[in-house]
Amino acid sequence: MTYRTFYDLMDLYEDDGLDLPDAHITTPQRISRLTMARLRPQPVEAPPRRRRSVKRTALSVLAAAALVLALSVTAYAVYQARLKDYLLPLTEEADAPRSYVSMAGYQSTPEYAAFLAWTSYLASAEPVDYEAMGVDDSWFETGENYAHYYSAVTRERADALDAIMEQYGLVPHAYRAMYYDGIDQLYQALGTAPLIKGDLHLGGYLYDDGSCKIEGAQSDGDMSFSMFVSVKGSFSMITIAAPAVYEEWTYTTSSGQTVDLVLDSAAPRGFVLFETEGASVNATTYSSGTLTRADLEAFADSIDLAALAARFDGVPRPETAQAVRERWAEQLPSGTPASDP
Amino acid sequence: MTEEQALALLRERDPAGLDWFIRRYGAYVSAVVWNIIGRCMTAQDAEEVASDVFLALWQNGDRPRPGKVKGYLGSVARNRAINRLRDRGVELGTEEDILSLPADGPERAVQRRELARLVKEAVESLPPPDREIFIRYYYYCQSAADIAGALDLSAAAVRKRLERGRDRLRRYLEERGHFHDLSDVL
Repeated sequence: MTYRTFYDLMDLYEDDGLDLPDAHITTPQRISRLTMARLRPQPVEAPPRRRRSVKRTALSVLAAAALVLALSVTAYAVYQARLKDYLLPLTEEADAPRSYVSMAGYQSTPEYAAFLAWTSYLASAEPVDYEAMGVDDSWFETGENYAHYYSAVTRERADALDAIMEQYGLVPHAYRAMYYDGIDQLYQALGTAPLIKGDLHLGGYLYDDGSCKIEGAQSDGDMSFSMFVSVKGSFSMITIAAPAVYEEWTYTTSSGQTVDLVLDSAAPRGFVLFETEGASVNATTYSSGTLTRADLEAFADSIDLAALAARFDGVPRPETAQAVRERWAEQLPSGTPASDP
Repeated sequence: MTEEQALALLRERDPAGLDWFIRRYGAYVSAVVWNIIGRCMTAQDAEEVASDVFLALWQNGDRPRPGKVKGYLGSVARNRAINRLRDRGVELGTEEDILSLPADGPERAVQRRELARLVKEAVESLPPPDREIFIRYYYYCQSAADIAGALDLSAAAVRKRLERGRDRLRRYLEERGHFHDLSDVL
C-alpha cells in the first residue's frame, strides 16, 4: 500500500477521544432498523421451471420480435444525450471547483431544471438550527423523504420543494426499499428479469416509482458496476462526479440499441448513458486494473436495454405531472432535444 | 448493560448486542460518515454507510476489545465513507496533502504495525491544539472552517497549524526512514 496523502496515512490511526456533534441526518433507531433488517435476509424461492412446447416457444419468439421492433421505433424517437448534456454547473468544493453528472435527466428536461432550482434554493436558504428545533425521532418518521432525501427539514423548505415539483411536473420518491442481501427480491419487486448480465449482483435499492440502483460485479474479471435508473417524472437528487478528461463515442450494442459511452481518461471507469421514453439510465463500470473501449462496449452489451425499456416505457405517471410535462415541452424551441414526453 | 456485556452478546450472535452499540455510537458513526460524504451525497447514502459500519461490527464482533469499540467503529466508518467517495470518483486532498511512503514489502504486516505506531506517536507529539486540529482535519475530514468554528479560531490559524503539523509529521517519519517524496511518481 502506498500512502499518497496524509488522509491515507491516517488510515493507520484510530481515534476514540473526540466527540463529534450530532450530524442530525439520521437516528440510532433508524440505523438499528435498517441494520437489523439486513441481518435477516428473506430467502426467495426461484420460480419453478416449466417445460415449454415448440408452438408456445414459436409464439413467444414472434411476440419478442414484435416487441423488439416496437422498442426500436421508440428508441429512435428518444434523444440520445451526450455527457455534456448531463453536466451540472461547476460547484466550489474544498479548494477546487468540481463538476457533477446529473443522474436524473439531461439539460432541458424538467428533472434537470428542478434539481438546479432546488439546490439553488438550498444554497440560499436560512441555515437550520437542529438543536433549537428539538429534532427527535418523530422527525424522520413523518415526511420521510422530504426531510431525509431532499433536506426539506422545515415547513418552509417543504413548501418550496412542493412548489418546485409542481412547477416542473414532478413527483417525489416516496420510500426506498433496500435489497443488499437479496438482489433477486429487487428484480422481483421491479417485475423484471436481471437487467445486467453478471453473476455477482451485490444488491441495490428500489424506490416506490421504480427508480433504482443496482450494484454488482463480474466474477470472472476485475470489473464492478453501479446502474442508476431514474424514472422520468420523479424528482431525483442523485449525482456522480464527472470525469475531467474523457473519450466519448456512440455505440450500437449487440441487441441493436444506440448508447453513449464515456471513458474516463484519468481513472479506470466508464459510463453507459441511455435514455428510454420512461427512464434515464446511467450505468457506471469500474475496473481495478485498466478499462479499455472494448471493455466498456462489452459492459454496454451486458445490459438488457430492451428489458429496461419494456419495464419503464409506457408506465402511467400522475396526471398532473404528465400535463405539466407536456406544457414544458411545448415551451421549448423546435428542434430542442428535450421534447421527450 | 456494560460494553463488555454487549460484546459478549455480539460474540453469541445476539442482535441485542449490536443494537446496544448502535444506540450508543450511532450518532457518532453518522457524524464521522457525514463529515466525509456530506458534501456530495444524500443523508440516505450516509445512513446506508452507517449501517454498513455496524454490519462490519456484527461480522467482526470478536475483534474490538472492551473500551476500544468507539475507536474501531470510527475507523471503519471513516474507511467505508472514503471508499464510497472513491466509488463516485472523488478523492480527498489537494497537492499540499500529498505524502508517499514505501510500498509494503514481504514484511507487510510488521511494517504496517510499525508505521501505525510511528503515526500514533507523531500525531500525539503535536502540541495542543495542533493535535486536535490535525485529527479533525485528516482523520475526521472536517473542513478548516468547521474546525475553526468548533475551536474558536480563525480559518487562517487552522490552516497555519495544519501546515505545521504536516511538516512535523513528515520530519518525524523521515528521521525514521519512512518518508519518500512523491514528486517523481506524480
